[in-house]
Amino acid sequence: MENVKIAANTSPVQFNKKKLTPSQIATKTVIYVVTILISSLFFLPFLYMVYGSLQSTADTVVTWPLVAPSLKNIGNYAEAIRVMNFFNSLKNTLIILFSSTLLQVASSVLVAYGFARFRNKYTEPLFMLLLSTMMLPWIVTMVPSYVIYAELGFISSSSSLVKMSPLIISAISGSAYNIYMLRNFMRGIPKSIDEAAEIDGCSSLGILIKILIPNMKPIIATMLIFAVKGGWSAYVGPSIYITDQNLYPLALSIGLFQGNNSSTELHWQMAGCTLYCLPLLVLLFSAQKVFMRGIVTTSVKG
Amino acid sequence: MEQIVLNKKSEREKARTRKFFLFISPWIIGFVVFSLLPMILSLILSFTWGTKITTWTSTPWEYSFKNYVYIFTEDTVFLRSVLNTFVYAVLRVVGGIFVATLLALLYNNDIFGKRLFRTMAYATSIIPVSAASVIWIALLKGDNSLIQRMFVTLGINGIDLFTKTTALPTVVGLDIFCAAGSTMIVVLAALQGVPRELEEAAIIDGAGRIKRFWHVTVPMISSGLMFISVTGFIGALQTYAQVKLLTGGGPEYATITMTMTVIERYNALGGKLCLGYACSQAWIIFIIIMIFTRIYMKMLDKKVYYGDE
Repeated sequence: MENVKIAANTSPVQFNKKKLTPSQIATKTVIYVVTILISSLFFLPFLYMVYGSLQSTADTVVTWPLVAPSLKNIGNYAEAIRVMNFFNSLKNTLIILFSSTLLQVASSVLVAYGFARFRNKYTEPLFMLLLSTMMLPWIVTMVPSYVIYAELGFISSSSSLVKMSPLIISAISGSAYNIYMLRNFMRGIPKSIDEAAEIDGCSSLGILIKILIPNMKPIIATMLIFAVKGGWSAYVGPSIYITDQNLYPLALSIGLFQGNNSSTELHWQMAGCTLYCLPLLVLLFSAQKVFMRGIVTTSVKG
Repeated sequence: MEQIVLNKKSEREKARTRKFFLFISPWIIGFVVFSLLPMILSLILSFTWGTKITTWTSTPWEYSFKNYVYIFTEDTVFLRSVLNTFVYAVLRVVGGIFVATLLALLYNNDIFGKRLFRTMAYATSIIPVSAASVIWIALLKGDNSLIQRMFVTLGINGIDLFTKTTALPTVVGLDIFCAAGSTMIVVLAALQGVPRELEEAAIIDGAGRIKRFWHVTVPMISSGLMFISVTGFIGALQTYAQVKLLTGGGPEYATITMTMTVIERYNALGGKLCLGYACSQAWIIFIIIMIFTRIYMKMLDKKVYYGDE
């Protein structure tokens, strides 16, 4: 991060701030206009979504010329909540999300600790194996996994928690990518600190919890946020394992607007989409720094 | 005396090895139960024409290469899906990096409000795939979409973006658009890691903007681009949700991808589950992905600067 700041401070634009030539002003204006245009273009899907959610009928969502959206149609949101069974779906999403995220991140930290601090002849080959699982396509394990769960009675179980568990328990293996990042990060923390703590009688788990984790808060926060983002949006897993409509997470219940008479209540659906996207957008804007920093640390070093 | 010290040392080593396995046990359990076992089972099943695992115990299964022969000789849909997936992956990776680099160069300018602009560009990439598809379909797909109605009203002969020939490029384009923000951030990070002195040296040597970009910036960010292209390529070869939700694989299998054929095949083949065949398809996909990832990484490896290691 420090490098970034230094680079920004010495950039020519800043350097010559006091005496801009006309051509420099022109360049800057062009850059400004282009940046605003491009940024708006990327924001367009959001605007269209909110626009659509405030239309009076499904047809006006796709009518040209555009129809002014009106707050009078705020009732669309109530309809969306009703059709999607929103709060129930939200509950399902949160159950899957929190349990799998916590399990995944906790496992990743433990496993990374093992790989970073307890080196022996098995460490390297096992680590290579771990890295190679990143290339393993999900489709190879998906079909037999589904069959195993089905045969063991998970899919047809009467308990909703058991029915959801295939989406949760596999998180125990952690994320290979996160383990890789955490291991690299831990190896950057001087081992002498651990050794001092060990002499003071601290157990291995104690060292992890009391010394290493406090030093890794930013990177763990980033992983949690990305896991939450991924879990909130996850579609493939639920679409395969969850067949019971009462257990639909939001990602699936957003598709429930295809009514019986084959037409979609698009304006309601847009309201549903807005409700579905809103928490993520709030998360993005409130944790902007974590999002940006996270990707920076995880990518450049990788 | 020395013996005792040595013994103590090896005791300690053993204890540490035990701890190592204790700490990595979540991954080992997860790997064995959720990756290794299903993979082995999938491999065994792929040589059968099984429909359910329980038939294993009741009737003896016939093992043969029939599935694999069928895949390469008769299953045109599968071959089509492999072709589609590769076209998709190549366009997606190349286009994605191109767009992301352009965006990163733009957002690397030191202007007022750059944080907000970056976040706006990033925001598209957080729209969940199931919501994004709703938006794109309303905006672009079919006669009852905003864009088609606009064309009709303006009296323009618009192009249908979801025909047999246009659907695949459209899907690629939309995916690039959706992912551009997050990819851009990675390139941006790499760009900001380029040492200022290098560029200044190039300016003193009289290199123009374009020359500086090609001979200084690109080599320096190549490891970042490599990272994006490898992860992007592996991901693109397995693409499922975006395409499934936008086109369902159609029209006429024009956009069906490898992973979609497996799930489709598994879901129903003449009304019954066709487990063995789906498994053999999955294994072919696995092998294809492995081979191409290796080739791809080797190809890129020669051209990438990783810093002074």
